[in-house]
Amino acid sequence: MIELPEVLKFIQQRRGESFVFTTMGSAREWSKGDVQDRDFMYIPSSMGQLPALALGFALAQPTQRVIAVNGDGCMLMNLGSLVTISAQSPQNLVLCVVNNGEYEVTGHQPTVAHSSRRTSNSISFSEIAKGAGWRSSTSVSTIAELTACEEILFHNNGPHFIEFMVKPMAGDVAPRSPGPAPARARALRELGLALQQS
Amino acid sequence: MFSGPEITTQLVGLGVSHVVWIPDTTLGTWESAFTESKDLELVQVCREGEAWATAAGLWLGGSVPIVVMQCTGFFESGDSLRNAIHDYQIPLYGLIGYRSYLNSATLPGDTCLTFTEPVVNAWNIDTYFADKMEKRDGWQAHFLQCRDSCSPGLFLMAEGKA
Repeated sequence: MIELPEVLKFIQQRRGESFVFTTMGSAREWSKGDVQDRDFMYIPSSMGQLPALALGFALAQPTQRVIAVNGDGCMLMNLGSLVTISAQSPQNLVLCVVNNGEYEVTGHQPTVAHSSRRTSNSISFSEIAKGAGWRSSTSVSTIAELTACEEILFHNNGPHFIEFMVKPMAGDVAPRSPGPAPARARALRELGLALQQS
Repeated sequence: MFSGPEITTQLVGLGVSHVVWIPDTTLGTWESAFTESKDLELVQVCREGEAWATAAGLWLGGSVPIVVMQCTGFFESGDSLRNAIHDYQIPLYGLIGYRSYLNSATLPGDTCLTFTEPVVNAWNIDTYFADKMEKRDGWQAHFLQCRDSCSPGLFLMAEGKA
């Protein structure tokens, strides 16, 4: 397993002009780094809806790379979105799931996909995405595998699904507000309109 | 209330770019007109909560989406709607089919007749209700009013059967 901050740092250092959508724990950790105009920290969220939100943005901005970093608990709430996205097949969308096996911010309760909740093995989100018809789907659990994902994350035509097997975070894991939601939405809309008109 | 070509012409005339939807028996008759239109993109989702979030993403990206679903899906999708429209104040517009309103013979005792209007009212969104054919075209003015004021809106459209 790797650390969530390692995954996010890897993306932040290489994202270029990509739009990056984060939520829950990934948004909290993302906000500790170099936040740019092309970032959208989806807090407050309707838990589970980040893939749908990112899909809409990717369809509206087909020439822009869109990277969404979802949680495993969030993904479980909206598995159908994997099928919706593969049906639309936006080439500019990468959906990452950071899988720590638990609901972190509510006190580290295991999700129903975690092996401790099951009589069989843990659930593989990357296998679910393969079955849902994604162009590519992979699971990453080492730094070497993370490094090998660079082309998929930032360059190759998608849609791509990447499951990052990460360790649960210790310490303060409370949600962190990235600022007033309406103002952030308006700012992104203005950027979106400007890009559509350019 | 509308044929597929009629509603498609209206949506295109209003500047709508994307229809995000799940069909029901009534709305589903519009599909071929939507897919044949060169001016509309159809985005079909798996569950209605996705529709509001997808439409929110489209709006953030600069597009003009409309959400189309049956009232039952509207019931299901409340948290997603709440987040997009009230948390982020994204001015989405939705066309909601009101099941059984004009004809409850297919589903006698359909509780959509009990819950649709209270649930719609609970979300505190400006709503145009076409409860009879004579009122059907008034929704376009409502759509434009919402667009010009950057406000969310709903068109509650009475349906004849399930």
